Amino acid sequence: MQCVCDKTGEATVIKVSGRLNAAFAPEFDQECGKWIDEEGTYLVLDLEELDYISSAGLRCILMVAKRLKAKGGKLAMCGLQGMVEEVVNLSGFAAYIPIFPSVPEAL
Amino acid sequence: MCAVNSLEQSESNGGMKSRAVETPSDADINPRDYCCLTVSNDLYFVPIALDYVRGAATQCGFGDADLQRIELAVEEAVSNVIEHAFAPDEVATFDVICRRVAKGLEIRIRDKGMPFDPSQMPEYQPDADLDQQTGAGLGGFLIKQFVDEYEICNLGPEGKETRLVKFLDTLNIAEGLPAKPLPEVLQPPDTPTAQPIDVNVRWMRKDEAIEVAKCVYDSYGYSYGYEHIYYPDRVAALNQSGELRSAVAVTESGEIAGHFALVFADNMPAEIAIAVTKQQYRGRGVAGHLAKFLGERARAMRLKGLYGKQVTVHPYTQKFNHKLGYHDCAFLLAHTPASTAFKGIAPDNSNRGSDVLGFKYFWPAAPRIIYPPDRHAEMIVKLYDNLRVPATAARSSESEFPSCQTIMRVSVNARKALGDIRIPQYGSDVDDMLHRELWRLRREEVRVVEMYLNLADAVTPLVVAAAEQLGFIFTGILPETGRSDSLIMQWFNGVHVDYDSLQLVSDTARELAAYIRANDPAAV
Repeated sequence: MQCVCDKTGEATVIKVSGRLNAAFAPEFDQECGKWIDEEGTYLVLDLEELDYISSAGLRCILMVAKRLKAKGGKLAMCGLQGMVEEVVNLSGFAAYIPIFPSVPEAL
Repeated sequence: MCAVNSLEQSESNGGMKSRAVETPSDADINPRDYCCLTVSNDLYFVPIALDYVRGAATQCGFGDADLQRIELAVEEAVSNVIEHAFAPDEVATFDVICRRVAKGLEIRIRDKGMPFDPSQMPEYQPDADLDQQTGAGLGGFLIKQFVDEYEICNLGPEGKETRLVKFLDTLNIAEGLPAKPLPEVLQPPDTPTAQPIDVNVRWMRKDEAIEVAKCVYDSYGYSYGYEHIYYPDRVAALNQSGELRSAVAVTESGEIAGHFALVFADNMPAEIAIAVTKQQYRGRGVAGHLAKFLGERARAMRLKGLYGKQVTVHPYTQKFNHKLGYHDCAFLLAHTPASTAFKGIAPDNSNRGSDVLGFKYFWPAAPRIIYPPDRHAEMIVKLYDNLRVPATAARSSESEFPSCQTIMRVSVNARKALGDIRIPQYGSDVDDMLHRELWRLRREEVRVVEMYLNLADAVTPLVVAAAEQLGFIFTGILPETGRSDSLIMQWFNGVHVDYDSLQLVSDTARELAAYIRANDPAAV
């Protein structure tokens, strides 16, 4: 898994690629943690190049969403495809994390 | 099947070793279809275990999308074992076993860690909002979404096993077709109303599987309980593996007029099932020809006998089987959903169909000693007499469960909302384990549970009493279930059995139904 961060105006875009599972969940959590503590952060997870996600990865995203909400921030996801899209839809996350086709739409 | 099969010498690879294995229960399995990887209980090795399963699944023919689904299900199951089956500092291993099954892959994750308590398994709530959502139970939830069969077995001192089965995404003959309403009365199997027809009866050829699947769909809609029958590729593969032996009746013009089959399953007698005759050939003796053929072949296979599930929405199947020499011995009440939908769609439980089980011995049955519970002994002896089986009912002197651990296998057919419990070994924890499993099955929206208890075990009367306390009712016996005969019990979750609607033919069936009803606290 690889995370690349990009600050675009008011939003922070984290491009996540590869596999987000139990092995890489701590790394992902740490990367997101850098931005969560700022008040009112708008964090966009660009998952276009994410090939695989397990429940451990999903739980990390859930916790990021909760922590952001507690700080008055927001989380969005974009670029979901293949099994990542399937898993996110099944888990019901779309009900509380906005999903966009791509980064420009999310911003 | 797997490349690791060639690693007979147990190749050490850090915390992992691969070998071809054969367990006692898999004695009949072709070792070429079977491999096992032993993994250390360390998340570090999960990717290697996933590569191994992915390799096995690739060789089975799964495409990329399904490979990822399998990988996810296995990762969840394996991670669950590593994180929850062992103490934090405990160094141990567990096995990941892959076996090719007909048009699919079976993966078993077997560990000797802490016993499994289903009541500790949280249930994921996909509809919860952000504040309520904890993510607990998400792994198990995803497993159920991505595999076709999922069960957890307590193996007593042997630990526990998570079993996953994924089938190849092959043609389903009814896919995309509008829902087919069930005929008001299902086809009478053999009601002579027209001129008999000359047919050639033989084993089905591989290329005829699609025609057979269509026949079943035309007759039963999507209601037939043996789901594989709707997938021609699976039908062909199951016939090749011997788990299913399909016979077809072919007309002079080469058209398939009907189908009947022997279905083989673990710890059950072979079943004569999937009887179907095309509309235009009904009433012309086709089913009779097929039944005769299967009976002869079953005898030639030296099978002790066959059993059949006879529906009770009409009397024809029962009459047909009685003519063939089948004797009624049990009920599977509310066994079949009134309308059956595929995974993810809740079955309609309002009016489930009940079956009478009939058994036919091909040879004189061997004498046996059975341990019926006192309460049901008279009825059980009557059922044995009806089967012409020389059974001696012994009085059990057991007053408590053995001190060992219980071995219990619980499987769920989600499509039919049906649970199946087998208890190869009773232990001191059998009562608690049954209680916990029922709790889990209720939560999984299982509507009916069928439990088979060993009548040759002197502890069975105690288990029956414990099960009755939990709401199970006695529904009959079935001989030749593995090494012994079984006493059958059922448990219902919000299902009302309409005893008045059962259409029964034999005096035995009527007497047994009345007996069950009298002992069913929920009966009105």
